Amino acid sequence: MIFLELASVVPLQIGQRAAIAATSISALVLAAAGLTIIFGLMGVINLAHGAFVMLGAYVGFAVQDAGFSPWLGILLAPIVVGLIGLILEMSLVKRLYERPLDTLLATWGVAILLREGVKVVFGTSQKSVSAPIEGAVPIAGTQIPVYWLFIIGTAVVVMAAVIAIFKYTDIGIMALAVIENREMASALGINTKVTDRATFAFGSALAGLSGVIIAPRLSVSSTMGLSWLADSFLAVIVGGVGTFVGTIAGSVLLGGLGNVFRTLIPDFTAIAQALVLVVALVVIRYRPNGLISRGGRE
Amino acid sequence: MSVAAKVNRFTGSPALVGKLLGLVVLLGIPVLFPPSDVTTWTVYVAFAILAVSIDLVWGYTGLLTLGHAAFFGAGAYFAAKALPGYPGIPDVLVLFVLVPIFCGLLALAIGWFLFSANVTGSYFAITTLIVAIVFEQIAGEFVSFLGGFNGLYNIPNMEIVGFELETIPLYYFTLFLLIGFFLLSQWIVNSAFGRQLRGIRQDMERTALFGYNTELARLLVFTLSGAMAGIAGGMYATINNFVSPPLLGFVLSTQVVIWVAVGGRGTLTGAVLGAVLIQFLNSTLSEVLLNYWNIALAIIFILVVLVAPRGIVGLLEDATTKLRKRRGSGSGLANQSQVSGGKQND
Repeated sequence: MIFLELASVVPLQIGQRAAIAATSISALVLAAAGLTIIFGLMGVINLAHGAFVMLGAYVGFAVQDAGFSPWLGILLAPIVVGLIGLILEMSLVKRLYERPLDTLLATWGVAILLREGVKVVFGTSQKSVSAPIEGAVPIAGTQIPVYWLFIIGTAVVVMAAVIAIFKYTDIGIMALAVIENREMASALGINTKVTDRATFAFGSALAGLSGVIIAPRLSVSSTMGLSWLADSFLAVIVGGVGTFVGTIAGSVLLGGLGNVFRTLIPDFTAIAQALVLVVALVVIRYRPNGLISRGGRE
Repeated sequence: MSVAAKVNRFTGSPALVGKLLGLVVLLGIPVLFPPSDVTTWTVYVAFAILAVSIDLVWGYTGLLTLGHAAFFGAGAYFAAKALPGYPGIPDVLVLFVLVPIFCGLLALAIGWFLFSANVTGSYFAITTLIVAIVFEQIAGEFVSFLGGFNGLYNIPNMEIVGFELETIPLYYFTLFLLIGFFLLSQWIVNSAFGRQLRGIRQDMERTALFGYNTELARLLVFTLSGAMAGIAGGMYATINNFVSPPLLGFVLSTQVVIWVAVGGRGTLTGAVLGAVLIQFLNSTLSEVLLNYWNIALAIIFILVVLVAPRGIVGLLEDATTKLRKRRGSGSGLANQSQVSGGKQND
């Protein structure tokens, strides 16, 4: 009898756990995909990436606060954050391409600037954003909110689109060409400055999108950027810098491990988080090229 | 050397004048400010020691550490547990022997873990950042042993041979420590070992090709710096009588890096100046400007990184050399002595 009860109870919890894990992994994949472009491909250590995710969430809040449909927020957030990324590239990042550690410092300054700016505009209280889709569907014996499925679906579609853009479209291939060999790309008639700008803005827009999409699952605050920053950097580095498949693998590993540890030690969520970080450190230490490294390059 | 020549050499060295001026200001703090402010200044001085330790690793060796508060906080927590927990052990032994050994070993372990895999550059920055986050989370989670998010209270003031150090003596004692660490660091960076560290900053591979063991040198300076940060943290615990998880965290780590950057990385004066000046401005200007002060500081920091990477000290040095050149073109003799003074500064 006890065995039968267990059998019915355990799958229920696992089903819910898995859904939570899949949702958080999806949001992380979206945020980390932007960083794969900016850090992994362009080599820019953008410490404002977490702040971009935070800004995306606040765009969602502002749109809802003004009384518009949440869908408008999801449409606007990537545009607004993409534009801010564009401004950042044109004002700071382009001057620091030769000084990577100074890029890191300057973008950290930008992260503080955005955080404090949001505090001035929206105050320090935590905000909540409502999901654009209500309701839940029964899957594997548990009720899964439809919006979670929307998050997972968006991550799948966006990742497929991003991979396709960089593999098959002229714009994507031109961007890769500039990253691989700037002089040669320039000699072939590609405007490298415009390409840099567009690539950076695109990566920023993805951060904004991830922020606005995950906002209904979180309490939105000006300080939320830090954990997103750390998680996306780890997902990119652990997975293997510069490959989208690697980033997905890194996100699955980190997001999945986080949920596993949290299930195993439910009373110590911070320790669970710390354990994930330690695993990431060990991976970086022993596999500096990540789990899935880009073959054939130095 | 005649007295006149000595005076000439003294006035010809603005860096020395600046250092002495700063020292006079710091010595005069208990006269200039009421006792309630002196404790705040003592905290500034303790953080200035942390800034010097970061400058050794970042400014001189070129390893951007974004997690140095981990060692500062570890020292603070160690002192917070050991000072009231083991009254039999003299405070001086805890603060200046046990704390630096504990924090030095921590830094040695982390440094070995990273340097042996040749983790440098931005990867070093990101991994040290993660170390600080992990430390902060651990301290926040152990409620019964480390007080959790509320931290540890009622840490006693330090005692030296039975005398409890109150506000003003504690300030001078901490300042004395800062001066000691400043001179020690100055000796280190001007030694052969210091030249090796600067070699690593400029080109690690070339320094290794010259036959230097750069891994050992990095490990040494990181361990030493971690021990120094730990002592600063232990002092902080006795000054503030209260420690909490943010002391170990990433926010404090990056804050101090910003102080060092604005003051002038790679110069010890810059580290101390940046730490003391920005903390002072933080407390005075945040009352007037509220959140706008943080915005202003972020903009100043971005501008420093972008156009003046050598910080305030670098700007001052440029200004004095320009001034001296302009003055020096007047008379030949003055020109000669001032040029030699200028060479000593570089």
